[in-house]
Amino acid sequence: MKVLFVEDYKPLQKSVAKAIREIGWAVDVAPDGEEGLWFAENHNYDVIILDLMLPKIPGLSILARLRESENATPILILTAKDAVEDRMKGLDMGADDYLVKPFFLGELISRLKALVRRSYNQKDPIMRIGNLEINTSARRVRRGEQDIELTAREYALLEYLARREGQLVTRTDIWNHTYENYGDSGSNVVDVYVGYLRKKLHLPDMPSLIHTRRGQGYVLQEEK
Amino acid sequence: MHSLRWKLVVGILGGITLLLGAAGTAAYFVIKQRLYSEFDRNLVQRTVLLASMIEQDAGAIKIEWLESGDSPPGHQRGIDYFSVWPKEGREPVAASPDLEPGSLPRFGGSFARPELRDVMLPGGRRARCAGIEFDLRQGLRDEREDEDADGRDAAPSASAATPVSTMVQVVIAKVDTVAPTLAAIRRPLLALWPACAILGGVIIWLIVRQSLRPLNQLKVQIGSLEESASGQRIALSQQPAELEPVTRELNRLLERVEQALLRERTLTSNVAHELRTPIAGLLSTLEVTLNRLRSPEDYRESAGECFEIAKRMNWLVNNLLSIARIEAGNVQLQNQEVSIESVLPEWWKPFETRAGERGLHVDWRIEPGVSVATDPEFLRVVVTNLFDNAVSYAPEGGTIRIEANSEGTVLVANQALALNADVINHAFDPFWRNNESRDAQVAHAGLGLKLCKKIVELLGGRISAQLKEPERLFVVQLEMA
Repeated sequence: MKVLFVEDYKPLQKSVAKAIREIGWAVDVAPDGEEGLWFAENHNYDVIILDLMLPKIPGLSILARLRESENATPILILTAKDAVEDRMKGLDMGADDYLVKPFFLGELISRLKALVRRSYNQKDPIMRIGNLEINTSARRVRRGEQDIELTAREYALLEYLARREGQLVTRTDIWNHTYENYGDSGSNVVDVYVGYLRKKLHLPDMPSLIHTRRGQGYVLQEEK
Repeated sequence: MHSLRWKLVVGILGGITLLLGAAGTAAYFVIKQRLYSEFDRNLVQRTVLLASMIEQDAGAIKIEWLESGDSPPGHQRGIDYFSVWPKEGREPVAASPDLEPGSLPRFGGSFARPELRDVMLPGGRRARCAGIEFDLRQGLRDEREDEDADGRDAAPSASAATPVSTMVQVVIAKVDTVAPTLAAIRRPLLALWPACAILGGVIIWLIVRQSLRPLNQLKVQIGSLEESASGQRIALSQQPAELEPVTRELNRLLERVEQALLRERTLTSNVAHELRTPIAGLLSTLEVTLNRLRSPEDYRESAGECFEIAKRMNWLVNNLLSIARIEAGNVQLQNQEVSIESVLPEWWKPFETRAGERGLHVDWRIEPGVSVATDPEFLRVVVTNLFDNAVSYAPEGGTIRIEANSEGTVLVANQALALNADVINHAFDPFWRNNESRDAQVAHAGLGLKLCKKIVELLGGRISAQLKEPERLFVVQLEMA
C-alpha cells in the first residue's frame, strides 16, 4: 500500500513516515500544498493524509481539487483544528476520515488500514485466498497450518496483490502502490520480489497462488 | 437615601404645596379686599342717603325718616345703627333706639368723601362707621338742586342766617358682616390645602413611579444578559429619550467587551492550536521510537528530535508569557545605553549552529559606535525573535542581512519564499485567523512578531515588516530612536 503524507511540520513528517514504512507500506511526504497536490494528481495512492494548514495551497483546496477531478483516493485529514465545524466541513467536502492533532500513531495506522480495506471493499481485516490467510492488522501470513515469515517489502507486495485478488496487476501498479517515489519503475525489482514471494508461499502439495501473465503482469488467485 | 424617586416626589410636592398656599392666600386677600370695599361703598351710599334726608325746619333739625317711624328706610335692626348730632350740641338729635347713647364716635367727612372708621360696638361686635359733617342749608340746597326745586320750601332757604343749627354730624354704623363671610371662605380653603397636598403627593408619586418604570425594565434587561452569549444588546425601542443615550453607551460597552472576549477566545484557541502541533510531533516521535527495540543511535536521534521540539515549545510558551505580562501591564523598564555594535553579534551566537546547518550566510552591516538608550533585556527578546524568524525562513544556503545605522535603526532582511503578502499584512497579529495556508513555522513567526511589536511599543520604538517582491525579501525594520 502507498500513502501520501502532506504535512509541513518536520518532526511529524519524519515520525509518521517511519511508522507507515514499518508496517510495510510506502509513503511519499509532501512538505507543502503545491507539492502535495502534484503528488496526488500524478500518482496513485491508496490513501492520502492531509494537513489543513499548509504553505502555498491550503489542505481543503487540495481536497476540493482532487474530488472535482474525480480522484476517489481515500483522504484522512490530520489537523490541529478540532472544532466540530472544521470536522464537518472537511468530511462534507469529501474527506473520508478526520484525526485531530495531537494523535496516537497507533490510531492513525489503524484508521489508514480501515480506509484501505474500505476502498478495496473488504470489511474483514483477515483476507483469505484458498488456504492462504493474511491478517492485515497483525501483519501475519499463514498457509494451511504453516506460518510464513515475510520481509516488510514482501508483505507489502502480498497485501497489495491480495487486495486485488483475481485481477491482473501490472508491474507498474505494483511499483506505484508499494514503492516510494524514487528509482526507476522499469527495473526488474518487482519481478525479483514477486519471485521471492512466490517461493515463500510455495508449500509442498499446495497449488501455487501467484500466476504470471506473460508480458502483462501477475494475478493472485487460487486456480481451480 | 439618595433616591431619584423621593427627590422628585418631595421636590414637586413641596413646590406645588407652596404655590397652592400662595395662590390661596392671594385669592383670599383679593376677595377680602373686594368684599370690604363693596361693604364700604354701601355704607357710604347709605350714609349719604340718610344724611340727605335731614332738613332744617324753622331752625330745628328735621329728620324725615323719624316722621314715618323710628328707623331710616332699609334699616336692619341689630345690624344698622345711626346717630345724628347737632354740631354744637352734646346730645344726639336722633339715634338708634337699641344703641346705648355714646356708643358711636362722633366724626364726619364731607358729602363727597365721608370718613370711615372701625368701631367696637357694645357686646364686642366689630362694626364699620361712616360719618358726614355738613351744613344743613348746604345739604338742602343740594337736595333742591337734585330734585329741581318746585319752590315749595323757598322760605327756609331765606332763613339761612341761623348758623347754630346748620351743622350736623351723621354717623351710620353697620355691623361687620364681611368677617363671617370671609371666615366661611377661609375655613374650606385651609382644609383644602393639606388635602390637595396629600392628593397631589399621591398623584405625583404614581406619575413618578410610572415614569421611572423604564429604569426598572432596563435593570431587568441588564440583569438578564448572559456573560457567554454574544450579540446581546439592550433594545432601544420603547425607551424614553432620557434613557436612550445611557442604553446606547451601554450597548457600545457590551460590544467592546464582546470584542475583547472574542479576541481572548481566539487567542486561547489559537494558542492551544499552536501547541498541539509540536505536541503531536513529540508524541508521534516518541511513539514510533517505542514501537520496537531500536539501536542506540536511533534512540539518540529521537531524543535529540524531542529535545528540539521541547525547546521550540518552551520558546513558544515564553513568548506567550511575555505577551501576557506586557498586556497585563506589570513591566518595569531598566533603561541603559546599549551598544548595538557589540550586542547584535552576541545575541546572534545561539543561532549560529542552526544557521550553519541550513548553510545560511550572514551579511553584517553595522555602523560602528551605534548605541541606544533602552532596556537591553527586552531589546534582546525582540532581536532574537527576528533572528529566529530569519533562520527559520531563509532558504537553505541563503543570506541574512543584519544592519544597524547611527539613527538607531536595526534591520533584518532575508529571503522568505514561504511567506506571502497576506502573511505580512497580518504579521503583527498574535495568530492570524482563518488562514489555512499557514505552516507551523509561520505561526511561530506570527507570535514572535506580535511579541516584538508589543515590546517595541513598550520601549517607545517602531517596528515594521515588508515583503519585497519579486525576490520575496522579508525585511523587518526596528527603529529604536
